[in-house]
Amino acid sequence: MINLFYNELLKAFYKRRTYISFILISLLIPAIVYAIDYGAVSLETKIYGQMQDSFIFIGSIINGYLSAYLIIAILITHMPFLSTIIPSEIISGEYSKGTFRIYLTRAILRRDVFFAKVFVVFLYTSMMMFYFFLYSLIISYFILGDGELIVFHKGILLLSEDDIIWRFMLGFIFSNFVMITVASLCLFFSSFSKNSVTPIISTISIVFVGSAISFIPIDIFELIDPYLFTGYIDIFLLAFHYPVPNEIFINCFLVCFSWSFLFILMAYFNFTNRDILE
Amino acid sequence: MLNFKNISKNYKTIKALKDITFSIPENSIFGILGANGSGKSTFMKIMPGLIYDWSGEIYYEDQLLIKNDMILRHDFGYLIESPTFYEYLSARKNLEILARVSNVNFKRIDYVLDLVELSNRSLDKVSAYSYGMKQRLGIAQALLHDPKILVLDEPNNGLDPNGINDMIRLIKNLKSDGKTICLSTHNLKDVEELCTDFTVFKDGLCSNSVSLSDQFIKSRRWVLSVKNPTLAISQIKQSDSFEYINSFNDNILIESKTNDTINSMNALLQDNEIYKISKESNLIEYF
Repeated sequence: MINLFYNELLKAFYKRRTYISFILISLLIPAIVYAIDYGAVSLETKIYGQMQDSFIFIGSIINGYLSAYLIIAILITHMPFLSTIIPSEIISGEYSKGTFRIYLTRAILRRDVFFAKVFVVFLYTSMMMFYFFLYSLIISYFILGDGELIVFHKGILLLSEDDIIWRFMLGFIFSNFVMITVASLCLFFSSFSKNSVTPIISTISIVFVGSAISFIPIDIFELIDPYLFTGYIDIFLLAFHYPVPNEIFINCFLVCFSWSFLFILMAYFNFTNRDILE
Repeated sequence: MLNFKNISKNYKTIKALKDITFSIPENSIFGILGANGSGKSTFMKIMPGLIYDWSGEIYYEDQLLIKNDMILRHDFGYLIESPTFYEYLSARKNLEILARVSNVNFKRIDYVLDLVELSNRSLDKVSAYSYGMKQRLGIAQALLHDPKILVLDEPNNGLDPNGINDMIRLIKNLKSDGKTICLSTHNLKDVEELCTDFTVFKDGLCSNSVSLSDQFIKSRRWVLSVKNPTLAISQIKQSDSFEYINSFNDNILIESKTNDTINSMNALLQDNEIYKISKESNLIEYF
Protein backbone atom coordinates (compact mmCIF):
# COMPACT_ATOMS: atom_id res chain seq x y z
CA MET A 1 0.00 0.00 0.00
CA ILE A 2 2.86 2.36 0.83
CA ASN A 3 4.40 1.58 -2.55
CA LEU A 4 1.13 2.39 -4.28
CA PHE A 5 0.82 5.63 -2.35
CA TYR A 6 4.41 6.53 -3.20
CA ASN A 7 3.71 5.84 -6.87
CA GLU A 8 0.62 8.05 -6.86
CA LEU A 9 2.60 10.84 -5.21
CA LEU A 10 5.33 10.46 -7.80
CA LYS A 11 2.84 10.57 -10.65
CA ALA A 12 1.14 13.67 -9.23
CA PHE A 13 4.28 15.61 -8.41
CA TYR A 14 5.92 15.00 -11.79
CA LYS A 15 2.95 16.64 -13.53
CA ARG A 16 3.06 20.35 -14.26
CA ARG A 17 -0.64 20.85 -13.58
CA THR A 18 -0.07 19.93 -9.95
CA TYR A 19 1.72 23.24 -9.47
CA ILE A 20 -0.84 25.47 -11.17
CA SER A 21 -2.73 26.21 -7.96
CA PHE A 22 0.46 26.87 -5.98
CA ILE A 23 1.80 29.20 -8.68
CA LEU A 24 -1.51 31.06 -8.89
CA ILE A 25 -1.66 31.52 -5.13
CA SER A 26 2.01 32.55 -5.03
CA LEU A 27 1.48 35.25 -7.65
CA LEU A 28 -1.96 36.48 -6.73
CA ILE A 29 -1.62 37.00 -2.99
CA PRO A 30 1.41 39.35 -2.98
CA ALA A 31 -0.28 41.35 -5.72
CA ILE A 32 -3.44 41.73 -3.60
CA VAL A 33 -1.46 42.57 -0.46
CA TYR A 34 0.48 45.26 -2.31
CA ALA A 35 -2.79 46.58 -3.72
CA ILE A 36 -4.23 46.75 -0.19
CA ASP A 37 -1.10 48.53 1.00
CA TYR A 38 -1.28 50.97 -1.90
CA GLY A 39 -4.97 51.69 -1.47
CA ALA A 40 -4.98 51.62 2.33
CA VAL A 41 -6.45 55.08 2.75
CA SER A 42 -9.42 54.54 0.47
CA LEU A 43 -9.98 51.08 1.92
CA GLU A 44 -10.01 52.49 5.44
CA THR A 45 -12.50 55.14 4.42
CA LYS A 46 -14.78 52.48 2.97
CA ILE A 47 -14.49 50.29 6.06
CA TYR A 48 -15.06 53.17 8.48
CA GLY A 49 -17.97 54.51 6.48
CA GLN A 50 -20.35 56.42 8.66
CA MET A 51 -18.71 55.05 11.80
CA GLN A 52 -16.27 57.92 11.68
CA ASP A 53 -19.14 60.07 12.99
CA SER A 54 -19.46 57.87 16.10
CA PHE A 55 -15.90 56.66 16.74
CA ILE A 56 -12.49 58.16 16.81
CA PHE A 57 -9.96 55.84 15.20
CA ILE A 58 -6.33 56.30 16.15
CA GLY A 59 -3.78 54.73 13.84
CA SER A 60 -4.60 52.41 10.96
CA ILE A 61 -6.80 49.32 10.99
CA ILE A 62 -5.05 48.05 7.85
CA ASN A 63 -2.58 45.40 8.93
CA GLY A 64 -1.42 41.89 7.96
CA TYR A 65 -4.25 40.12 9.73
CA LEU A 66 -6.97 42.19 8.10
CA SER A 67 -5.28 41.75 4.74
CA ALA A 68 -5.09 37.93 5.18
CA TYR A 69 -8.70 37.89 6.41
CA LEU A 70 -9.92 39.81 3.37
CA ILE A 71 -7.84 37.80 0.91
CA ILE A 72 -9.01 34.45 2.28
CA ALA A 73 -12.63 35.61 2.52
CA ILE A 74 -12.59 36.71 -1.11
CA LEU A 75 -10.57 33.88 -2.65
CA ILE A 76 -12.05 30.99 -0.66
CA THR A 77 -15.07 30.90 -2.98
CA HIS A 78 -12.69 30.24 -5.88
CA MET A 79 -10.76 27.47 -4.18
CA PRO A 80 -13.20 24.72 -5.29
CA PHE A 81 -11.91 25.26 -8.81
CA LEU A 82 -8.29 24.73 -7.75
CA SER A 83 -9.35 21.74 -5.66
CA THR A 84 -10.46 19.93 -8.82
CA ILE A 85 -7.11 20.07 -10.62
CA ILE A 86 -5.68 16.79 -9.32
CA PRO A 87 -8.82 14.71 -8.65
CA SER A 88 -10.28 15.56 -12.05
CA GLU A 89 -7.68 13.52 -13.86
CA ILE A 90 -6.28 11.14 -11.27
CA ILE A 91 -8.55 8.35 -12.53
CA SER A 92 -9.96 9.65 -15.81
CA GLY A 93 -6.49 10.71 -17.00
CA GLU A 94 -5.10 7.21 -16.59
CA TYR A 95 -8.21 5.79 -18.17
CA SER A 96 -8.04 8.04 -21.22
CA LYS A 97 -4.27 7.70 -21.71
CA GLY A 98 -4.49 3.93 -21.31
CA THR A 99 -1.89 3.70 -18.53
CA PHE A 100 -4.25 1.51 -16.50
CA ARG A 101 -3.55 -1.16 -19.12
CA ILE A 102 -0.03 -1.52 -17.76
CA TYR A 103 -0.62 -0.49 -14.15
CA LEU A 104 -3.66 -2.61 -13.35
CA THR A 105 -2.22 -5.73 -14.97
CA ARG A 106 0.25 -6.00 -12.07
CA ALA A 107 -0.50 -8.17 -9.05
CA ILE A 108 -2.25 -5.39 -7.13
CA LEU A 109 -5.81 -4.89 -6.01
CA ARG A 110 -7.82 -2.14 -7.60
CA ARG A 111 -9.10 -1.35 -4.12
CA ASP A 112 -5.58 -0.47 -2.98
CA VAL A 113 -4.89 1.60 -6.08
CA PHE A 114 -8.11 3.49 -5.48
CA PHE A 115 -7.37 4.30 -1.86
CA ALA A 116 -3.82 5.38 -2.72
CA LYS A 117 -5.36 7.83 -5.18
CA VAL A 118 -7.90 9.06 -2.63
CA PHE A 119 -5.12 9.63 -0.13
CA VAL A 120 -3.12 11.67 -2.64
CA VAL A 121 -6.18 13.76 -3.49
CA PHE A 122 -6.81 14.51 0.19
CA LEU A 123 -3.15 15.28 0.78
CA TYR A 124 -2.94 17.58 -2.22
CA THR A 125 -6.11 19.45 -1.27
CA SER A 126 -4.93 19.88 2.32
CA MET A 127 -1.48 21.02 1.24
CA MET A 128 -2.95 23.53 -1.17
CA MET A 129 -5.33 24.93 1.44
CA PHE A 130 -2.62 25.06 4.07
CA TYR A 131 -0.34 26.89 1.66
CA PHE A 132 -3.15 29.30 0.78
CA PHE A 133 -3.81 30.20 4.43
CA LEU A 134 -0.19 30.25 5.56
CA TYR A 135 1.08 32.17 2.56
CA SER A 136 -1.71 34.76 2.88
CA LEU A 137 -0.80 35.29 6.52
CA ILE A 138 2.97 35.38 6.02
CA ILE A 139 2.96 37.69 3.03
CA SER A 140 0.39 40.00 4.63
CA TYR A 141 2.30 40.03 7.90
CA PHE A 142 5.63 40.87 6.27
CA ILE A 143 4.21 43.61 4.07
CA LEU A 144 1.63 45.17 6.39
CA GLY A 145 2.76 44.13 9.86
CA ASP A 146 0.58 43.01 12.74
CA GLY A 147 -2.12 44.61 14.87
CA GLU A 148 -5.66 44.05 16.00
CA LEU A 149 -8.17 42.62 13.57
CA ILE A 150 -11.38 44.47 12.98
CA VAL A 151 -14.27 42.42 11.55
CA PHE A 152 -17.97 43.02 11.21
CA HIS A 153 -20.24 40.69 13.09
CA LYS A 154 -23.32 42.12 14.75
CA GLY A 155 -21.52 45.43 14.64
CA ILE A 156 -17.80 45.95 14.96
CA LEU A 157 -15.72 43.17 16.47
CA LEU A 158 -12.19 44.03 17.47
CA LEU A 159 -10.03 40.96 17.97
CA SER A 160 -6.77 41.25 19.87
CA GLU A 161 -3.57 39.79 18.38
CA ASP A 162 -3.56 36.76 20.65
CA ASP A 163 -7.15 35.99 19.65
CA ILE A 164 -6.50 35.83 15.91
CA ILE A 165 -4.19 32.96 14.92
CA TRP A 166 -6.35 30.17 16.37
CA ARG A 167 -9.30 31.58 14.44
CA PHE A 168 -7.32 31.35 11.22
CA MET A 169 -6.45 27.76 12.15
CA LEU A 170 -10.09 26.95 12.86
CA GLY A 171 -11.08 28.56 9.56
CA PHE A 172 -8.42 26.53 7.75
CA ILE A 173 -9.48 23.19 9.27
CA PHE A 174 -13.14 23.56 8.35
CA SER A 175 -12.54 25.19 4.98
CA ASN A 176 -10.28 22.22 4.29
CA PHE A 177 -13.13 19.82 5.10
CA VAL A 178 -15.29 21.59 2.54
CA MET A 179 -12.57 21.53 -0.12
CA ILE A 180 -11.92 17.84 0.52
CA THR A 181 -15.63 17.27 -0.11
CA VAL A 182 -15.36 19.19 -3.37
CA ALA A 183 -12.30 17.11 -4.30
CA SER A 184 -14.21 13.91 -3.43
CA LEU A 185 -17.05 14.98 -5.69
CA CYS A 186 -14.57 15.60 -8.48
CA LEU A 187 -12.95 12.21 -7.87
CA PHE A 188 -16.37 10.63 -8.15
CA PHE A 189 -16.87 12.22 -11.56
CA SER A 190 -13.33 11.27 -12.52
CA SER A 191 -14.11 7.60 -11.87
CA PHE A 192 -16.87 7.78 -14.49
CA SER A 193 -15.30 10.09 -17.02
CA LYS A 194 -12.99 9.39 -19.91
CA ASN A 195 -11.40 12.85 -19.85
CA SER A 196 -10.30 15.31 -17.19
CA VAL A 197 -12.41 18.27 -18.31
CA THR A 198 -15.82 16.73 -17.63
CA PRO A 199 -15.15 16.19 -13.89
CA ILE A 200 -14.05 19.82 -13.48
CA ILE A 201 -17.10 21.19 -15.29
CA SER A 202 -19.48 18.86 -13.46
CA THR A 203 -18.01 19.67 -10.05
CA ILE A 204 -17.93 23.41 -10.55
CA SER A 205 -21.49 23.34 -11.89
CA ILE A 206 -22.69 21.58 -8.74
CA VAL A 207 -20.76 24.01 -6.51
CA PHE A 208 -22.28 26.88 -8.48
CA VAL A 209 -25.84 25.56 -8.10
CA GLY A 210 -25.25 24.78 -4.41
CA SER A 211 -23.89 28.27 -3.81
CA ALA A 212 -26.90 29.76 -5.57
CA ILE A 213 -29.17 27.80 -3.22
CA SER A 214 -27.26 29.23 -0.26
CA PHE A 215 -27.58 32.81 -1.45
CA ILE A 216 -31.18 32.86 -2.66
CA PRO A 217 -33.46 33.55 0.34
CA ILE A 218 -36.31 31.17 -0.49
CA ASP A 219 -37.86 28.99 2.24
CA ILE A 220 -37.24 25.66 0.52
CA PHE A 221 -33.62 26.59 -0.20
CA GLU A 222 -33.05 27.74 3.37
CA LEU A 223 -34.45 24.40 4.52
CA ILE A 224 -32.05 22.26 2.50
CA ASP A 225 -29.01 24.56 2.63
CA PRO A 226 -27.64 23.26 5.98
CA TYR A 227 -27.43 19.78 4.43
CA LEU A 228 -25.43 20.89 1.40
CA PHE A 229 -21.65 21.11 1.67
CA THR A 230 -21.72 24.09 -0.68
CA GLY A 231 -23.41 26.11 2.05
CA TYR A 232 -20.18 25.92 4.07
CA ILE A 233 -17.70 27.15 1.48
CA ASP A 234 -17.36 30.47 3.34
CA ILE A 235 -17.34 28.90 6.81
CA PHE A 236 -13.96 30.55 7.34
CA LEU A 237 -15.81 33.79 8.12
CA LEU A 238 -17.65 32.15 11.04
CA ALA A 239 -14.34 31.48 12.79
CA PHE A 240 -14.14 35.25 13.38
CA HIS A 241 -17.54 35.52 15.02
CA TYR A 242 -17.96 36.01 18.72
CA PRO A 243 -18.83 33.63 20.16
CA VAL A 244 -17.79 31.04 17.61
CA PRO A 245 -20.96 29.17 16.47
CA ASN A 246 -19.86 25.67 17.45
CA GLU A 247 -23.05 23.97 16.28
CA ILE A 248 -22.51 25.25 12.73
CA PHE A 249 -18.95 23.92 12.72
CA ILE A 250 -20.17 20.54 13.96
CA ASN A 251 -22.85 20.54 11.24
CA CYS A 252 -20.23 21.45 8.68
CA PHE A 253 -18.05 18.51 9.72
CA LEU A 254 -20.96 16.05 9.66
CA VAL A 255 -22.30 17.26 6.34
CA CYS A 256 -18.86 17.28 4.67
CA PHE A 257 -17.97 13.90 6.09
CA SER A 258 -21.28 12.38 4.93
CA TRP A 259 -21.03 13.78 1.41
CA SER A 260 -17.34 12.84 1.08
CA PHE A 261 -18.07 9.32 2.27
CA LEU A 262 -20.89 8.98 -0.24
CA PHE A 263 -18.81 10.33 -3.14
CA ILE A 264 -15.82 8.13 -2.31
CA LEU A 265 -18.02 5.06 -1.88
CA MET A 266 -19.70 5.55 -5.25
CA ALA A 267 -16.35 6.23 -6.92
CA TYR A 268 -14.93 3.10 -5.29
CA PHE A 269 -17.68 0.84 -6.60
CA ASN A 270 -17.43 2.33 -10.03
CA PHE A 271 -13.65 2.11 -10.21
CA THR A 272 -13.34 -1.42 -8.88
CA ASN A 273 -16.04 -2.82 -11.16
CA ARG A 274 -15.30 -0.89 -14.29
CA ASP A 275 -14.06 -2.69 -17.40
CA ILE A 276 -10.89 -1.10 -18.77
CA LEU A 277 -11.73 -1.22 -22.45
CA GLU A 278 -9.99 1.77 -24.01
CA MET B 1 -0.45 -25.50 -19.42
CA LEU B 2 -3.29 -23.03 -19.81
CA ASN B 3 -6.85 -24.05 -20.66
CA PHE B 4 -9.79 -21.82 -21.34
CA LYS B 5 -13.28 -23.26 -21.11
CA ASN B 6 -16.47 -21.59 -22.27
CA ILE B 7 -15.21 -18.03 -21.87
CA SER B 8 -18.05 -15.64 -22.70
CA LYS B 9 -18.40 -11.88 -22.54
CA ASN B 10 -21.38 -9.71 -23.45
CA TYR B 11 -21.43 -5.98 -24.02
CA LYS B 12 -25.09 -5.16 -23.43
CA THR B 13 -26.71 -6.79 -26.48
CA ILE B 14 -23.46 -7.73 -28.26
CA LYS B 15 -21.93 -11.13 -27.60
CA ALA B 16 -18.22 -10.39 -27.91
CA LEU B 17 -17.06 -13.88 -26.89
CA LYS B 18 -19.14 -17.03 -27.22
CA ASP B 19 -17.93 -20.05 -25.26
CA ILE B 20 -14.27 -19.69 -26.17
CA THR B 21 -12.49 -22.98 -25.46
CA PHE B 22 -8.88 -23.80 -26.30
CA SER B 23 -5.54 -24.72 -24.71
CA ILE B 24 -2.09 -23.15 -24.78
CA PRO B 25 0.80 -25.66 -24.57
CA GLU B 26 3.83 -24.94 -22.39
CA ASN B 27 6.81 -23.18 -24.01
CA SER B 28 4.83 -22.47 -27.16
CA ILE B 29 4.38 -19.29 -29.10
CA PHE B 30 0.63 -19.37 -29.31
CA GLY B 31 -1.10 -17.16 -31.83
CA ILE B 32 -4.64 -15.90 -31.51
CA LEU B 33 -5.47 -15.08 -35.07
CA GLY B 34 -8.50 -13.07 -36.06
CA ALA B 35 -9.78 -10.14 -38.04
CA ASN B 36 -10.44 -6.80 -36.36
CA GLY B 37 -13.51 -7.04 -34.16
CA SER B 38 -13.30 -10.82 -33.82
CA GLY B 39 -12.98 -10.64 -30.01
CA LYS B 40 -9.19 -11.04 -29.64
CA SER B 41 -8.63 -7.90 -27.58
CA THR B 42 -11.64 -8.55 -25.38
CA PHE B 43 -10.25 -12.00 -24.65
CA MET B 44 -6.78 -10.59 -23.93
CA LYS B 45 -8.25 -8.15 -21.40
CA ILE B 46 -10.02 -10.88 -19.46
CA MET B 47 -6.81 -12.57 -18.31
CA PRO B 48 -5.26 -9.58 -16.47
CA GLY B 49 -8.60 -8.56 -14.97
CA LEU B 50 -9.08 -5.44 -17.06
CA ILE B 51 -12.51 -6.86 -17.88
CA TYR B 52 -14.38 -7.90 -14.76
CA ASP B 53 -17.71 -9.17 -15.92
CA TRP B 54 -17.24 -12.42 -17.86
CA SER B 55 -18.10 -16.08 -17.51
CA GLY B 56 -16.19 -19.32 -18.01
CA GLU B 57 -13.25 -21.13 -16.48
CA ILE B 58 -9.51 -20.75 -16.71
CA TYR B 59 -7.23 -23.66 -15.74
CA TYR B 60 -3.56 -22.93 -15.17
CA GLU B 61 -1.28 -25.93 -14.61
CA ASP B 62 -4.44 -28.04 -14.09
CA GLN B 63 -5.68 -25.74 -11.34
CA LEU B 64 -8.99 -23.94 -11.70
CA LEU B 65 -8.42 -20.25 -11.12
CA ILE B 66 -10.99 -18.05 -9.47
CA LYS B 67 -12.17 -15.02 -11.38
CA ASN B 68 -9.47 -12.35 -11.60
CA ASP B 69 -7.07 -14.61 -9.71
CA MET B 70 -3.81 -12.92 -8.70
CA ILE B 71 -1.88 -15.84 -10.24
CA LEU B 72 -3.02 -14.47 -13.58
CA ARG B 73 -0.94 -11.39 -12.81
CA HIS B 74 1.88 -12.93 -10.76
CA ASP B 75 2.86 -15.50 -13.36
CA PHE B 76 1.78 -13.57 -16.41
CA GLY B 77 3.19 -10.48 -18.10
CA TYR B 78 0.95 -8.39 -20.31
CA LEU B 79 1.22 -5.94 -23.15
CA ILE B 80 -2.38 -5.13 -23.99
CA GLU B 81 -3.04 -3.16 -27.20
CA SER B 82 -0.75 -0.22 -27.93
CA PRO B 83 1.99 0.48 -25.36
CA THR B 84 0.93 3.22 -22.96
CA PHE B 85 3.19 4.81 -20.39
CA TYR B 86 3.41 7.89 -18.23
CA GLU B 87 4.79 10.01 -21.04
CA TYR B 88 6.06 12.78 -18.76
CA LEU B 89 8.36 10.29 -17.00
CA SER B 90 11.49 8.57 -18.27
CA ALA B 91 11.43 4.92 -19.29
CA ARG B 92 13.37 4.04 -16.16
CA LYS B 93 10.96 5.95 -13.90
CA ASN B 94 8.04 4.16 -15.59
CA LEU B 95 9.64 0.81 -14.89
CA GLU B 96 10.47 1.87 -11.33
CA ILE B 97 6.78 2.60 -10.73
CA LEU B 98 5.85 -0.86 -12.00
CA ALA B 99 8.73 -2.59 -10.20
CA ARG B 100 7.66 -0.99 -6.93
CA VAL B 101 4.15 -2.46 -7.11
CA SER B 102 5.45 -5.84 -8.27
CA ASN B 103 8.06 -5.96 -5.48
CA VAL B 104 10.81 -6.35 -8.03
CA ASN B 105 14.40 -5.39 -7.32
CA PHE B 106 15.38 -2.31 -9.33
CA LYS B 107 18.42 -4.19 -10.69
CA ARG B 108 15.98 -6.16 -12.83
CA ILE B 109 15.13 -2.89 -14.62
CA ASP B 110 18.65 -2.74 -16.09
CA TYR B 111 18.32 -6.35 -17.25
CA VAL B 112 15.01 -5.88 -19.07
CA LEU B 113 16.11 -2.57 -20.58
CA ASP B 114 19.21 -4.33 -21.87
CA LEU B 115 17.09 -7.14 -23.24
CA VAL B 116 15.00 -4.77 -25.35
CA GLU B 117 18.04 -2.65 -26.22
CA LEU B 118 16.82 0.54 -24.58
CA SER B 119 19.52 0.96 -21.93
CA ASN B 120 21.11 3.95 -23.64
CA ARG B 121 17.76 5.81 -23.83
CA SER B 122 16.41 4.80 -20.43
CA LEU B 123 16.63 8.31 -18.97
CA ASP B 124 14.76 9.94 -21.87
CA LYS B 125 11.13 10.81 -21.37
CA VAL B 126 8.80 8.27 -22.98
CA SER B 127 7.16 11.11 -24.92
CA ALA B 128 10.39 11.30 -26.96
CA TYR B 129 10.23 7.62 -27.92
CA SER B 130 9.23 6.29 -31.33
CA TYR B 131 6.36 3.81 -31.51
CA GLY B 132 8.78 0.92 -31.96
CA MET B 133 10.73 1.94 -28.85
CA LYS B 134 7.51 2.19 -26.86
CA GLN B 135 6.56 -1.28 -28.06
CA ARG B 136 9.92 -2.62 -26.88
CA LEU B 137 9.49 -0.82 -23.57
CA GLY B 138 6.08 -2.50 -23.41
CA ILE B 139 7.80 -5.88 -23.66
CA ALA B 140 10.29 -4.77 -20.98
CA GLN B 141 7.52 -3.89 -18.52
CA ALA B 142 5.78 -7.19 -19.25
CA LEU B 143 9.01 -9.05 -18.44
CA LEU B 144 9.82 -7.00 -15.35
CA HIS B 145 8.55 -9.52 -12.80
CA ASP B 146 9.94 -12.46 -14.77
CA PRO B 147 6.58 -14.03 -15.69
CA LYS B 148 6.21 -17.57 -16.97
CA ILE B 149 3.70 -16.57 -19.61
CA LEU B 150 3.81 -13.47 -21.75
CA VAL B 151 0.56 -12.17 -23.25
CA LEU B 152 1.13 -9.79 -26.14
CA ASP B 153 -1.73 -8.09 -27.93
CA GLU B 154 -0.74 -7.36 -31.54
CA PRO B 155 2.98 -6.88 -30.75
CA ASN B 156 3.90 -6.07 -34.36
CA ASN B 157 1.12 -3.58 -34.88
CA GLY B 158 2.39 -0.22 -36.13
CA LEU B 159 6.02 -1.31 -36.38
CA ASP B 160 8.22 -0.70 -39.42
CA PRO B 161 9.98 -3.72 -41.05
CA ASN B 162 13.07 -3.29 -38.85
CA GLY B 163 10.89 -3.05 -35.77
CA ILE B 164 9.02 -6.20 -36.81
CA ASN B 165 12.29 -8.08 -37.28
CA ASP B 166 13.50 -6.92 -33.84
CA MET B 167 10.23 -7.98 -32.27
CA ILE B 168 10.27 -11.41 -33.94
CA ARG B 169 13.85 -11.97 -32.79
CA LEU B 170 12.96 -10.87 -29.26
CA ILE B 171 9.91 -13.15 -29.03
CA LYS B 172 11.87 -16.14 -30.33
CA ASN B 173 14.62 -15.45 -27.78
CA LEU B 174 12.03 -15.36 -25.02
CA LYS B 175 10.74 -18.75 -26.12
CA SER B 176 14.32 -20.05 -26.03
CA ASP B 177 14.51 -18.79 -22.45
CA GLY B 178 11.60 -21.06 -21.58
CA LYS B 179 8.75 -18.58 -21.66
CA THR B 180 5.33 -19.38 -23.04
CA ILE B 181 4.07 -16.61 -25.27
CA CYS B 182 0.50 -15.93 -26.23
CA LEU B 183 0.08 -13.27 -28.88
CA SER B 184 -2.87 -11.96 -30.80
CA THR B 185 -2.63 -10.79 -34.36
CA HIS B 186 -4.68 -10.21 -37.46
CA ASN B 187 -1.63 -10.83 -39.62
CA LEU B 188 -1.18 -14.33 -41.13
CA LYS B 189 2.50 -13.64 -41.68
CA ASP B 190 3.02 -13.12 -37.91
CA VAL B 191 1.57 -16.55 -37.21
CA GLU B 192 3.56 -18.23 -39.98
CA GLU B 193 6.85 -16.67 -38.91
CA LEU B 194 6.46 -16.83 -35.16
CA CYS B 195 3.91 -19.23 -33.82
CA THR B 196 4.14 -22.88 -32.95
CA ASP B 197 0.39 -23.18 -32.33
CA PHE B 198 -2.61 -21.05 -32.99
CA THR B 199 -6.34 -20.65 -32.77
CA VAL B 200 -8.57 -18.50 -34.91
CA PHE B 201 -11.18 -16.10 -33.57
CA LYS B 202 -14.14 -15.21 -35.73
CA ASP B 203 -17.24 -13.31 -34.61
CA GLY B 204 -16.58 -14.17 -30.97
CA LEU B 205 -16.08 -17.89 -31.66
CA CYS B 206 -12.80 -19.75 -31.87
CA SER B 207 -11.36 -22.88 -33.48
CA ASN B 208 -9.54 -25.56 -31.53
CA SER B 209 -5.82 -25.12 -30.96
CA VAL B 210 -3.89 -26.09 -34.05
CA SER B 211 -0.19 -26.89 -34.25
CA LEU B 212 1.33 -24.87 -37.06
CA SER B 213 3.66 -27.69 -38.07
CA ASP B 214 0.71 -30.14 -38.32
CA GLN B 215 -1.25 -27.60 -40.23
CA PHE B 216 1.72 -26.98 -42.54
CA ILE B 217 2.16 -30.70 -43.21
CA LYS B 218 -1.52 -31.00 -44.06
CA SER B 219 -1.46 -28.02 -46.37
CA ARG B 220 -1.68 -28.81 -50.07
CA ARG B 221 -0.89 -25.30 -51.23
CA TRP B 222 2.29 -24.53 -53.09
CA VAL B 223 3.82 -21.44 -54.61
CA LEU B 224 5.75 -21.61 -57.88
CA SER B 225 8.06 -19.15 -59.51
CA VAL B 226 8.87 -19.94 -63.15
CA LYS B 227 10.47 -18.33 -66.20
CA ASN B 228 7.25 -18.31 -68.24
CA PRO B 229 4.25 -17.96 -65.92
CA THR B 230 1.65 -17.75 -68.71
CA LEU B 231 2.71 -21.11 -70.15
CA ALA B 232 2.88 -22.67 -66.69
CA ILE B 233 -0.64 -21.49 -65.80
CA SER B 234 -2.11 -23.01 -68.96
CA GLN B 235 -0.27 -26.30 -68.31
CA ILE B 236 -1.46 -26.39 -64.68
CA LYS B 237 -5.05 -25.71 -65.73
CA GLN B 238 -4.92 -28.73 -68.07
CA SER B 239 -3.40 -31.00 -65.41
CA ASP B 240 -5.44 -33.37 -63.23
CA SER B 241 -2.81 -33.32 -60.48
CA PHE B 242 -2.94 -29.58 -59.75
CA GLU B 243 -5.51 -26.87 -59.36
CA TYR B 244 -4.66 -23.31 -60.24
CA ILE B 245 -5.74 -20.83 -57.53
CA ASN B 246 -4.24 -17.48 -58.51
CA SER B 247 -1.01 -15.69 -59.40
CA PHE B 248 0.74 -12.60 -58.10
CA ASN B 249 4.05 -10.97 -59.11
CA ASP B 250 4.99 -13.95 -61.30
CA ASN B 251 4.28 -16.30 -58.39
CA ILE B 252 1.64 -18.94 -59.01
CA LEU B 253 -0.43 -20.33 -56.15
CA ILE B 254 -1.67 -23.87 -56.73
CA GLU B 255 -3.29 -26.69 -54.84
CA SER B 256 -1.74 -30.09 -55.25
CA LYS B 257 -3.83 -33.25 -55.51
CA THR B 258 -0.85 -35.58 -55.50
CA ASN B 259 1.45 -36.69 -52.71
CA ASP B 260 4.54 -36.33 -54.88
CA THR B 261 4.13 -32.69 -55.72
CA ILE B 262 7.71 -31.75 -56.55
CA ASN B 263 8.38 -34.59 -59.02
CA SER B 264 4.94 -34.22 -60.61
CA MET B 265 5.50 -30.49 -61.00
CA ASN B 266 8.95 -31.00 -62.52
CA ALA B 267 7.45 -33.46 -64.98
CA LEU B 268 4.58 -31.13 -65.88
CA LEU B 269 6.74 -28.05 -66.35
CA GLN B 270 9.76 -29.72 -67.94
CA ASP B 271 9.73 -27.16 -70.82
CA ASN B 272 9.68 -24.27 -68.34
CA GLU B 273 12.46 -23.17 -66.03
CA ILE B 274 11.38 -23.48 -62.38
CA TYR B 275 13.06 -20.90 -60.13
CA LYS B 276 11.34 -21.80 -56.89
CA ILE B 277 8.77 -24.21 -55.53
CA SER B 278 7.69 -23.95 -51.90
CA LYS B 279 4.89 -25.11 -49.69
CA GLU B 280 2.45 -22.50 -48.48
CA SER B 281 0.35 -22.61 -45.34
CA ASN B 282 -3.39 -22.39 -45.81
CA LEU B 283 -4.09 -20.14 -42.82
CA ILE B 284 -6.24 -17.90 -44.96
CA GLU B 285 -8.81 -20.68 -45.07
CA TYR B 286 -9.32 -20.30 -41.35
CA PHE B 287 -10.67 -16.78 -41.76
